Amino acid sequence: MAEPLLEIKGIGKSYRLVHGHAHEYKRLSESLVNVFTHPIRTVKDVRKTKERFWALRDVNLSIFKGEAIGIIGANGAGKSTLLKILSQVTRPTEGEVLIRGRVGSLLEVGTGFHPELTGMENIYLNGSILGMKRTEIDRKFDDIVKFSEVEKFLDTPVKRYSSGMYVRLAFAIAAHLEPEILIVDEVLAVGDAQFQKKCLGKMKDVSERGRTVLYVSHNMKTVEALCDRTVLLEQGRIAKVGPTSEVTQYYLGMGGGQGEIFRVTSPVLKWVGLINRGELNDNTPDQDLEFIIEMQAGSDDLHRLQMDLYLHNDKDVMVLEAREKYLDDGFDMKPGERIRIKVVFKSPKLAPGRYHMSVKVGTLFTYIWVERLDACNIIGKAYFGNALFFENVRSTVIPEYSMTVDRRE
Amino acid sequence: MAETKIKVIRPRSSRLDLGLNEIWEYRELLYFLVWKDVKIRYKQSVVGAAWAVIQPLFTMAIFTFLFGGIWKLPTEGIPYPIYIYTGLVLWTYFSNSVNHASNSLIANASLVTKVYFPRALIPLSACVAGLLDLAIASIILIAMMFFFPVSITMVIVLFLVPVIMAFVLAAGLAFWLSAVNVRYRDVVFLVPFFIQLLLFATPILYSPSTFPEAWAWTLKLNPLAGIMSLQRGVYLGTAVDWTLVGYSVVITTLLFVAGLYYFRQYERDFADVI
Repeated sequence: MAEPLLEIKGIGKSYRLVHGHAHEYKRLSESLVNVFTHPIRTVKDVRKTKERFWALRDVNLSIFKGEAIGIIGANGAGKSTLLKILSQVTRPTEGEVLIRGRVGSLLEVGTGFHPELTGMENIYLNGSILGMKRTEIDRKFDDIVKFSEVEKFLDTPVKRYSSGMYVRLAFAIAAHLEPEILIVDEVLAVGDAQFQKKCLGKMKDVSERGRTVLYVSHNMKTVEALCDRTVLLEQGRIAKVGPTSEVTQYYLGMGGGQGEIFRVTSPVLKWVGLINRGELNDNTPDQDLEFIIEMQAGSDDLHRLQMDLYLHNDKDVMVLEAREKYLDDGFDMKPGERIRIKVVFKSPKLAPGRYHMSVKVGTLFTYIWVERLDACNIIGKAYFGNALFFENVRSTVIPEYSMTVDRRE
Repeated sequence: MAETKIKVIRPRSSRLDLGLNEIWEYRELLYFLVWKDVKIRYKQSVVGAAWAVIQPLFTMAIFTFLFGGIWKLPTEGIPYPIYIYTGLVLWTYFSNSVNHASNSLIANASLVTKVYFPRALIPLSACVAGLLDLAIASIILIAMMFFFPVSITMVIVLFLVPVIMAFVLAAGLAFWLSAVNVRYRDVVFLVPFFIQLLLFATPILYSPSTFPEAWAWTLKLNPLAGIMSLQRGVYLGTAVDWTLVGYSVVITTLLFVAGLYYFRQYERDFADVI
């Protein structure tokens, strides 16, 4: 058997927690003052390595030539950390990786793009940052321009580009990267659907021509379309590796991570999970948002249970709230009964991003409380006929709106 | 198929390696980073590259009025304006490079957290980009030498020597300062202050002969003193203090090697801290 192109041996990455933040820059004076005024405490602080948060631990994996590997897992499972280590952006805390070949990584689209530079200038700059040689860019220049569909604006500074053009140009450069090992983070989550399809096709092309691809995504459909083998990460460790369909099925069956139950105060009710988590990866803002939650009763009869559900965005702002008491008097459960509750938000127009939820089920005195459950992923789409680049949206919702000018004299 | 090189990613590299090979491998990227710096700098400015000349010329005018006109400092028989402009040209390059480079990693945080390349290219490109301004200002210097007139000797063919020394010194300091700046943002406030002090502590606006005897030893520790002495010797034919030049070569080299080594030690943590 051939040697693997990429050998990951016992990789781990930890961050030291400082005042609850994983990393934080300090003022020089603070550190100096601490050293002089509290020499003992400072030494202790340095020694005290207990407050460590392991973003990744004991990851072992061998990847062979021509393989397309998917990496999936809930938010915070360590996917991005793994990619950053493999791209050498950050160093591991333990373990080692052997790489036999050139690595190209795409952790973000348009890294190093400068708004003042023209489209053509940015092709050279960005291509070079991504690791292409100048001659290579010269050779692929026409293909890149054709793929990006911005021929007419090559001499225009990209700050005058529409967001759609900007993304297309950035993708086009990235898509023409041809390293032996291509590492791609979820960059396909923006851009309009047609262009996403084009990019996916290009990636499939790359892997079929014998290149190795590592692809991280929340979108099970694209992982299934692209990858032969998939790795499931859970809380920094590999939970499962195998043929893609097997692993994605297993992941969807997990119901969105039972490990995330924060507090259970009731032995009479068992939380099963968010059953349809797998279908909530590529909702668009105006699509209905549907959550199916399953739970099972213990040995008691339960009366007038009520469910409250809160959805938060990744800045921890609550964006949606559904409380049963506004609708009815609750529901009953027989001993051992298993039920599913479906909560539907009609076209909530949420801004693209990742969302997590908290759920409370029970009566006033006995309840289960589930917090920070990875809930859904909303992706950008062509909105109002424009392929808007949603990264800059700061509001929590994007309602359909109009603006009219009313002239008086 | 040729045997491909195996790359190993480990928590900490054990070898004492300055990574110069890798910087050489990535020279094209260095070129593009410099090219970007230069393009951006003059993209939306009215007078563009004239800024390269305005800064040293105005400083020259002010100090000519103060030191040359009012205090009449001795300048080894050379007209005061050209005497200090010769130094100011190189000084402007040095101070702009150090200033610019010390904040360069922060300014390019998006690159540092998203792609791999030798991080040393970032402060280095800031030091290289300044060379263009230096070239323009130096052409004005030569034009002025005809105007004033100052006799030009064959020594002028060595004009690159002080430039290279100033570049190595600026790069060495830039490695230190930019790396420390990632963790401690105080550097941004400290650097301009430190540079201001250095301008007065170095014989640039006055001749070394007016430097107080009791403090002469500080010149040996100040690598810029030797560089400036050499710079004036090359253009104006003044006496070069070779002892100072010797000290300067040693200190500059040490600062560069130690700076790069320090930078290399921490570069892989930048993405976690920045």
